[in-house]
Amino acid sequence: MAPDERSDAELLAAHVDGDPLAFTELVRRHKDRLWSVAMRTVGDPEEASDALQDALISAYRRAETFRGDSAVTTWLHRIVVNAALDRMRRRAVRPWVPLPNEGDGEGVGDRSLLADRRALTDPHDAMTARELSMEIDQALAMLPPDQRAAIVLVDIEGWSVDEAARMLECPPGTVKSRCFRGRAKLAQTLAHLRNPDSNRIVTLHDDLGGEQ
Amino acid sequence: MNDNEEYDVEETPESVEMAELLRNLPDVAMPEAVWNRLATALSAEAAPTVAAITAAPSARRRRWLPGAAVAGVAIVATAVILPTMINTGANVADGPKETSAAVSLEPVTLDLVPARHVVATGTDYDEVGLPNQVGGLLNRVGMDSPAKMIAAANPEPPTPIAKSGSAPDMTTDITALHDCLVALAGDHNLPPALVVDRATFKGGPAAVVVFLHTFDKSEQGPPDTVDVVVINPPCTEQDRKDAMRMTFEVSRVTQ
Repeated sequence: MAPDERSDAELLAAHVDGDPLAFTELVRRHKDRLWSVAMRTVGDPEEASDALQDALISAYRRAETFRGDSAVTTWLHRIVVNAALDRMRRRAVRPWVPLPNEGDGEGVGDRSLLADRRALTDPHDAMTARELSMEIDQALAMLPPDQRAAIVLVDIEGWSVDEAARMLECPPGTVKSRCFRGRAKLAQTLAHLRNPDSNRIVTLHDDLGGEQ
Repeated sequence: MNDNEEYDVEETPESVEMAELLRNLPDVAMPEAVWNRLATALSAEAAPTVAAITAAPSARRRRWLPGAAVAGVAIVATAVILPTMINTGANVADGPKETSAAVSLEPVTLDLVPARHVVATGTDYDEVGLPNQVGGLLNRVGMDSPAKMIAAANPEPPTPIAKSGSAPDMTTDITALHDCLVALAGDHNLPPALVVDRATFKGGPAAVVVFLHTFDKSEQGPPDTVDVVVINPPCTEQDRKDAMRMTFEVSRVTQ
């Protein structure tokens, strides 16, 4: 079957006009990104799957409310991330585990923690990109949901702070603070990834031998 | 410090470094099972407006017969006694947009065939769009509600089978169709078919056969269901073994 060349907005409009396949095609087009957002926000495949289904059924039913003042993908992401957060708040399926310094303002961004000598002496040999990605995802799952969602949207998915703020329905400054605090906690959790020789945390880029 | 408090954040080297690390994380590919479940749920949403098919509660753990890689789709809906005469596919209601051009229907022969309708819609079926596509097919043959499916149990004069330029098989030849459906019914303990669609499945030749499965007019009864079977048109013994079968719930909303 030839790929559907209609734009996202055209597919959504076709769906509203009664095309029974248009919405599924729209979702198919963005499924991996939407799944990443749901999965990383919720932290559990089953819950992510349920949250994504709830979100997209909701989007399907209220597609006519889309006013076109943002991109269709922004609208879809907003619905998905809010469904994921709602689900987490309601069911608390994966309660996050506070870090020791949680809430006291200390240790956030503490360079001595990042320089922890548990760091791998040669992360290139010890960890593949896949393992590193999994470890980061696990650390991400330990963050409070709101911080996690902000980091997923801004840092991982690359949305601007303003766009993320619209999706999360909060001020941009709140998104910034959530990102900042979340990154600081991640830095603590992932301190062992720091390469003591370079005094710099190992990156996926490093691990791939400088590819990308 | 309150997370919801708006304030200017002074970026630290660690924060910037962590942001860079996160930025390089790859997307997580959606597992095939999740996509199938999601697409089925979306298709079920569309169903009440176009036809009578919605995903059954078991859709999340869909049942497939072994050898699901068959190059054809057969949809079977069974319930009450179904007619054994073939009906025309020409006087059909408007269905959803097909993915390829519909094939014109030409009379070939008249005979007793254990199927209510035999059509050639030209649809290219696939697992994901199947509920929607089946809904469209039933709409097309005028069976857009359980009541009309039940009504199809009443015998009507036989009507032509669709003609095709391809080699004779169950979608083009009355005898082959008869033998295949009888064998299918025997293999799976199914009643005669409601609809047979000569079509394609993921681009390969296929027959889509619909059997009405469970119908109970009482409100407390089990959900009405249809079985969907995908079969390669030659309908050999091996084809029947390899046939793909799905079960869907027929929405009461359309009654």
